[in-house]
Amino acid sequence: MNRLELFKTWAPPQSKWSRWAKPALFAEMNVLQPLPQDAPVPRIDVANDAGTAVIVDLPGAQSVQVGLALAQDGYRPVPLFNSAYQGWAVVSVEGIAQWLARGANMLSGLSLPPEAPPAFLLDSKRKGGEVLPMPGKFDNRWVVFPQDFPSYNYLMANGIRRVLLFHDRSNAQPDCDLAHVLLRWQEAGLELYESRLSIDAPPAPMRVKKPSNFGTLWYRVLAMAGLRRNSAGGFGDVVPEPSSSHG
Amino acid sequence: MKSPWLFADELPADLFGELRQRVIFECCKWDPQVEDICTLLARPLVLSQDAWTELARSAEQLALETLAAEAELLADISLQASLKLPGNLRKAFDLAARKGPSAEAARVMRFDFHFTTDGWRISEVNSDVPGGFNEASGFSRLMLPHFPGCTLPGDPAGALADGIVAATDPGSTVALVHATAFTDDRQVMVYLARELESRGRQAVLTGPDHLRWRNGMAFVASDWHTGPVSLVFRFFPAEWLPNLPSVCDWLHFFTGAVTPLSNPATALLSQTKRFPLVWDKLKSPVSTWRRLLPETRDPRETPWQTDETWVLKPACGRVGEGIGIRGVTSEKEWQAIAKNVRRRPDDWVAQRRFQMTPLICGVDALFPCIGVFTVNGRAVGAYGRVARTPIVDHLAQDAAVLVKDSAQRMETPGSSFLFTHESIGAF
Repeated sequence: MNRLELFKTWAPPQSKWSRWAKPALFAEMNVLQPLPQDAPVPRIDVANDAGTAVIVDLPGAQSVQVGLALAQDGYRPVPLFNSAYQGWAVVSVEGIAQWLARGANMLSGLSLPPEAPPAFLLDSKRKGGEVLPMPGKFDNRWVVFPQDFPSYNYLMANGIRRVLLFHDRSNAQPDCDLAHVLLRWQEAGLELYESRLSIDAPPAPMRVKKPSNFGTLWYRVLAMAGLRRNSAGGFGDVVPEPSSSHG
Repeated sequence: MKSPWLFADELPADLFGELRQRVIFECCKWDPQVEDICTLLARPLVLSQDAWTELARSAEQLALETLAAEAELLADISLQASLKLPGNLRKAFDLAARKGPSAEAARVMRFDFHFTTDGWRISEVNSDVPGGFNEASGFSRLMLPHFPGCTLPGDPAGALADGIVAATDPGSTVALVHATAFTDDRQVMVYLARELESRGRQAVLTGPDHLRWRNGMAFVASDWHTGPVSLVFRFFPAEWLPNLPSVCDWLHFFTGAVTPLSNPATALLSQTKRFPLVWDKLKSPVSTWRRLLPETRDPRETPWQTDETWVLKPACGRVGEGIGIRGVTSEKEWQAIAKNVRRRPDDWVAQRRFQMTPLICGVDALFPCIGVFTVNGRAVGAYGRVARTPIVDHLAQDAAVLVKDSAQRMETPGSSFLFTHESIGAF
């Protein structure tokens, strides 16, 4: 299976949500052999609801694994990993790439219908955290923007009334970049729910609080400019220069 | 006024769906969707041969004038005052004036043309870090076979790679400097890397913070590559360079670099939208600029608050962001822009509004922009963007630009792809 075939498996043209799948990681990753179609993948117990879109915001490979689990419950996983694939990276995407490849056979075997509701997959470590961003490292940190998702109007036109966020955060509020996405939907009228994967409890209603710069007309520009300014090439904070490297 | 282009039908959805995936993987187009909009237009912009010839000639003349003006501005710092360049760059321009600019090669620019009720006009030059290579070279190439009777206006990515190859030794390494975390930028670098490697050069993709300088020679110091480079291609806006750590010696992008740069950061002198504000003080002729760019002034010199014929543009704006056109820009956005202009007028210009001539396709009114690339002063191809409003911004779609071969009729089996000139009307 080559990169294009793998991308087509995760973003089949017939799905109404495939347009939003991010190709960057697929385009550069080393493609591995998929697992056999009947290989075990994790299961989670989620009721399929055609009116609910899911956002999976979990670390690395776990996000893909939960996406595959949701696929078995009738959801269409939509990978939104907008990260470059290169060695010595600040954000490890190896696990994500491995599971995208491993899950391909299983996913294609499910024959999900084109109208299957979406489960958007994000890496909660997208802003870094695993590797100390030292000089010399490849900065592939990333953030999400509202433009990375369908609009409220598109969601509504396709029967989506609710959004369920799967996460592993200690508090219910989403990360700031995702908050920009969710708050727009919330203000437009979508119901939001959150579910912490580690807690055995039904999804709880969620009210997203206003993040900084919300509603700013040039949020994307400001975010990108600010992030560029801070990191000179990447997202997040300044990559520190140890004093020994000066001169 | 006779329209310069013929507008072709859309490719059938299934065919275009396949082509879209090829563009993603063969042409490194990794941002094919913005919210609900597919960023690739399913039909090309088809220019008449005469129109392309006119655009190419104008772009070459503009490039010539731009280079001369930049040189004059660089040599005389007093001329730069009206540009209101960022304060943290003054030292860089001062040093460049005293010591001379860095070495450069493969100078690339993109001039954005719009067809208006008065003929062709330009809205800006992207003389610092122009983009659109993947679409102009790759997307157009993939669209071409579906529109017999057409040719490509050029291959900007290939021409840029040729320019870099001409300035470097075989087998040497070229640094492609970009904001590595931005896949929108990285896709351009990966595409250019392929072009360079097919021409016998090594390409190393790197962040600006991994570049080091020794006696004016550039080298890369990163975990994945260490060593000298024969040329630095910069895809990182010049105004962000002062934010780099001091160890990066970013002043070399302005002065002191022996390793050639494409582009030198002194390109900012013409990249700023305030560039026209110094024309009257220049000895260099800017007659083509004056003919094609609408009147541009400091906002304080215009009645922009009451006169709707003035458009507000941020001096360092890119891809149409932050442009204010009364009646086009939403009222909320206009108010935010107006507030910003009143607070920081040095960061803005007011420009006379031009009336773009839209293409009417069924119920759609489309506003095209043709970005003509020049490499070392020669026109080498075109990048098409099509908006649904007169502001060609980040929500515009990328369009393949083709040129109708004047010797042939454009035909496609099963259907006519041609709109006639009558389908192009006033909006």
